[in-house]
Amino acid sequence: MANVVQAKNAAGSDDPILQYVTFRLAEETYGINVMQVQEVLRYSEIAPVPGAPSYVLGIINLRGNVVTVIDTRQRFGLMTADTTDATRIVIIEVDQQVVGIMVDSVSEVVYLRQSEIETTPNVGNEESAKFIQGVCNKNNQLLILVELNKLMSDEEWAEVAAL
Amino acid sequence: MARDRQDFSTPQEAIEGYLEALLQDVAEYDEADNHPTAEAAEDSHPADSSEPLSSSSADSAPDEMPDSDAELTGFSAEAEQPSDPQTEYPAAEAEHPADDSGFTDTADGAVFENKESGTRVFAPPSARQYARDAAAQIQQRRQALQQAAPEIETALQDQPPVMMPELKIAEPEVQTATETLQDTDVESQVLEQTEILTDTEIGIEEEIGISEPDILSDAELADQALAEMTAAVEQEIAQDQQVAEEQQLAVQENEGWTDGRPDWAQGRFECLLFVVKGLKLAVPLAELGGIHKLEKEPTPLFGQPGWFLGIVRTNGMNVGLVDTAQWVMSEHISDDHRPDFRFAIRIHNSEWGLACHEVAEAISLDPSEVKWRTKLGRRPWLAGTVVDHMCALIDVAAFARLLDSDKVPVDLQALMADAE
Repeated sequence: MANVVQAKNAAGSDDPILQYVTFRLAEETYGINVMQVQEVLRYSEIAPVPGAPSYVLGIINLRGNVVTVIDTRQRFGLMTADTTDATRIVIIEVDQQVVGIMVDSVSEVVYLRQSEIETTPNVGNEESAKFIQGVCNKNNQLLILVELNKLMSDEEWAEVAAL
Repeated sequence: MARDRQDFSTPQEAIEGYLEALLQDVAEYDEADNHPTAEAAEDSHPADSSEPLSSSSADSAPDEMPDSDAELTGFSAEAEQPSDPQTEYPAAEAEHPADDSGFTDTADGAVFENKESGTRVFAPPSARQYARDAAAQIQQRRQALQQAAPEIETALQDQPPVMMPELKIAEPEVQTATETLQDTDVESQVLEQTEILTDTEIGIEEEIGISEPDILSDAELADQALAEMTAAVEQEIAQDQQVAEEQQLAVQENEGWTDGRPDWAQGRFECLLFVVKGLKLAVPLAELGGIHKLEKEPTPLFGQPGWFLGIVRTNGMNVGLVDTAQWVMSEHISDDHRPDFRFAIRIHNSEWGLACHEVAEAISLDPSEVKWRTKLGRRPWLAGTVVDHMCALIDVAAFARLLDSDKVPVDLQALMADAE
């Protein structure tokens, strides 16, 4: 896969090809940069943490390491939903911190050119509006790209790290 | 001796007197050293003299005045002479036993006490230098005390009436403050403490009678601070009003309007009629980007206002879909409003689309048929109304500018409510 990416990057250095892991959430498809994804886990029991922020579902034990799981729906301002067999926990690394985000399902890894990413109208004043990096039309559907680096503020990352 | 023991009222004075006597003796002894003859020694130290003589430099005294040693009523041998004074001066010891003559040996030196004058002379080792240093220090202290004395007296004259009333007044107020601290209400605590401070200041004012200018100055300062704050707030309000007026003027510039009507309405123009929730609207064909049928639901983006339905992909471009009903009739939008729109009317040179339920016919209008708006009001997107067709003519360009600006409202219903 790396060879493919390198070949595609070499083909158009001005327009690099990016890889995004796509997942479904509230009937919409979102994409996150594959370089920030460590692994994808099946849903397992999440131990709630008393006093944790509302966007924290709890913690899981990942091979001896405690990983905080973020409630992505709550973070995006979406309605809550029950977990299903397709529910996954995507382990991501952001700002040298490893956390998990719970999604409805994980779809695939797609290749996107940088030029294919389009900006979105930003008419909202909510915090979650800045999570959107852009949109891209892929396979006749609109892919919403999420900026994980902006998923939480520095203070919120510190809160998560303190759990 | 210069001073009698009974004159000493304090230990310090006693010590000073002792040192003065010591100095005087040393001076007399120095004079004797300058005339080391036996006669002079006899003249300066008669046998019946009651003045005790102390010497710290006994190296010359025993040799030069051997006869006078026995006549001296007191003598202190210092440690520099390791020999026993008793063996050195046996006559003195024989004629003046310790109990009678007042000459006693101590661990540090010898002390001679003159019973007539009541003074005691202590002659430690190197007493001469010691006495000179001590005298110099005493002199310095006296000078310092003389210099400092007027200030202390002045301060004491000024301070007592100020300090004492404060303590007397503060006692009951401290109790009040302690009671206040037991309360959880921070505001009342602050108020109580403020009152306490005020009462204390007033009390000082009553007692002293000179603090009134200070109280007034504090009040004046408070008034000045309040006036400054008020001026600052007024200035901010004025600036805000000015900014608002400038923004309003900027919006009222009616970009694209000439002679009270849009540029595209300077002559006869074509309009497309469409229906939104039963309300007929018209858009000029000159500013119409396209009509798109919504075959699938728009892709919603989180964190966006309710009137933004999402993004639709059409003709190779992403169009932000606007819930037109919420814009044109926000006061009639209820919670059960369902944006079941079928078409999107895209604005020319814009990525915004107006959602509508039906697309009607195109009509030709004369500018005189339109009642053009005279001011922007709360509906800057409204160009005017067409009475013949019972429809509202939309200023599409103004609508697009509003959507692209940072001042786009999020809650339209609240905006309309505020405007009303």
